[in-house]
Amino acid sequence: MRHSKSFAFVAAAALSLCVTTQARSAEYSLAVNLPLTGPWANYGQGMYNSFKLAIDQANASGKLGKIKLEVIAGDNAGNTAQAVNLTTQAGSDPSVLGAFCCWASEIGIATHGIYQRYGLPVILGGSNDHRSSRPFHQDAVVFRNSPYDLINMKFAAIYAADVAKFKRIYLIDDNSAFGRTQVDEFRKFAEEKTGSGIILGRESIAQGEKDFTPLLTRLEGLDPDMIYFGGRIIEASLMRQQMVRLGLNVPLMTSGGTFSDTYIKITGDAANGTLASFWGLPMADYPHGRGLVFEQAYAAAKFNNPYEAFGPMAYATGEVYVQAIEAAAKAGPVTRAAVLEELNTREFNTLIGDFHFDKNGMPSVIHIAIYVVRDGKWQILYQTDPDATKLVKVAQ
Amino acid sequence: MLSENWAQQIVNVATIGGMYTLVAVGFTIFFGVLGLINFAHGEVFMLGAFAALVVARTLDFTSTAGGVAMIAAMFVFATLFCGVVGAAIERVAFKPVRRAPMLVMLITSLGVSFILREAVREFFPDGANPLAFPSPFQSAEIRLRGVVISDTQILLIAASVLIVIGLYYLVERTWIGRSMRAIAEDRDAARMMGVDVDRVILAAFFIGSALGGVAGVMNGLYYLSIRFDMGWVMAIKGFTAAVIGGLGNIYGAAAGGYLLALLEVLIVALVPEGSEYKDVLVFLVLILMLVFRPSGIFRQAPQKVG
Repeated sequence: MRHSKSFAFVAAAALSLCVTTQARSAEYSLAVNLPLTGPWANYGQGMYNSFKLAIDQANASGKLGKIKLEVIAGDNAGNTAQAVNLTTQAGSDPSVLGAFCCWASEIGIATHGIYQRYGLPVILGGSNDHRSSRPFHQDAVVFRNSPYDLINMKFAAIYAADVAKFKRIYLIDDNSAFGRTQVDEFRKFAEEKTGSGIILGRESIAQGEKDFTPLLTRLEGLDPDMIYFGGRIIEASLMRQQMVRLGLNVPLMTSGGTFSDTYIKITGDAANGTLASFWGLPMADYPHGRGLVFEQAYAAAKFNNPYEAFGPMAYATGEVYVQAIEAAAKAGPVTRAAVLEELNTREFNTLIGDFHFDKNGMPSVIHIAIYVVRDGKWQILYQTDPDATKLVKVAQ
Repeated sequence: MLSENWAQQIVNVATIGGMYTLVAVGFTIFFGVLGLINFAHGEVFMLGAFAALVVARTLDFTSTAGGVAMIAAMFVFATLFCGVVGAAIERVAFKPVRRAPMLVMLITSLGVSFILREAVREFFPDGANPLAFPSPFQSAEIRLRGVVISDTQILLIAASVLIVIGLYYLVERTWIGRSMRAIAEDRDAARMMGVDVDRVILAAFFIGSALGGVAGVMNGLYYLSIRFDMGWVMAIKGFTAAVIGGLGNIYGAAAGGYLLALLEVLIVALVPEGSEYKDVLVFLVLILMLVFRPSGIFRQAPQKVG
């Protein structure tokens, strides 16, 4: 009797395990690998929410038929080792069809090879450093939802040297892979335009540092007409406030690490005059009013954090996966290889525009715009033409 | 004649040094009474800034007199809040492991640090983002030729000096100070002499953490933005300042804070691309101090908490 009870228990447990496994195998998931905590959580949370919104909408609409996509929230905390673990976990989970990573450049650089090893398609959001992208490596599973620094910095330098005609630029980076490469590329393109005399010098600061007055006091003596900062939001904000306080009233130019309403909120009036080159448009300027529709849907979802600067691209990433999986399901079994095939061949209709990925996994639609903070708002000054060959002044 | 540039750098040293001192005195008190390097102190400093932000959002004064009242309320609330948090940390986290090896207490302090930091990120509204810190002082600046000093900087420097003097008085002239020194000297002997060790350690944590709260408010008022992870870097700097001056030595903490600031400013001001190597050189000094002069620059501590 006792044995038969034990047998029944084991059998029931085994049966429930089978049922659980079966239920699990009927689902598919997408693995997020973003800084949901830590110093860049504001960006990571906004990206995660936006990405999940696109997936939730697809699940609710029924357009994927019986497929229910699950979003696995992987928090890399801005830490490379943690991100590598998440990549390995996602790679070894057979339910995962694709990944969305990383925001920080250094994490993109560290993980692309692991995604390749597992044959897991990954779309990079942010991670602006070109070294995480093809053709700088041969990892065929890696795609991007925005252009990399070689393109962004080219237009930043065109603006600084050709349009605004700055003559005495001082460069500062935050010693991260992102910040250093931004400054390297900005310098390269600016010197190509005007010769080496345009750059007065270069310094690196540490992330987490709060007081830049000793450095800025020294720079006052060099009389720069612009400071370019390759770094992230909090350091840029403090630097700008301290520049204004010390009377160093020249523009501070930055890029995607700083382009954010949070920057304006924490910098206050001192933010006015800050320049940024960014691979995104004002929400009203995205095609077919999709930006505004997203904005309304995000507000209706009542997330705790704003979508931030990278939210629109993250939402577009979700749309890309939904369309790729939908197409793969119609063609046959839904596998990573099938999703990869769709990513390589399909045209996608997304918030940021209709595009396909080129042979290097780069989106065929590129928006780079130069913004300035005026009256407490980012206002667009210039944007690239449709072929991304030059900057075009935007009517105010 | 001192150039305007160098005069401004002296103001910078005084400001940065004042900030480091405010944090370093907390480290020195904890080390003095318990021999503990309390890395959670950085997060208590962060909590002070967030507590003051709550006060500022609640009391939305706009007049000058109202602004002064608001700042007073920010300091009072943040100080009391951090004092209570510090005392609670001592009771919940440190007291149970007080007799364990020092490494256990160190790891406990790191654990508390993580919990506080992530709790603020998770539960404070919009806590993952950097937050603007309101200050009625932000527009008031004194400009003497090319040298700029704001009233917040003056307040910060004055606060650091007054706190060091006040602590000296507390340690030397009060019952609680004598008890703290007795515990630092020999905890068991102090207990046999009638000192309520638990109560004194609790009081020391209240005082040290309350000072962390003051530092957090000053940090918010001066830098005008705060973030949930602001404590770690300041903890490292405060700890370094305390080591340079001599852990457990209140004057040493002040001297260490200003010396650390002077070192940082000199590197940036004199060495081309020196900003990049600033922290390397600072931590090199820390290592050299620990190896060759672990008791700090004041080998014979004039006034020791411990």
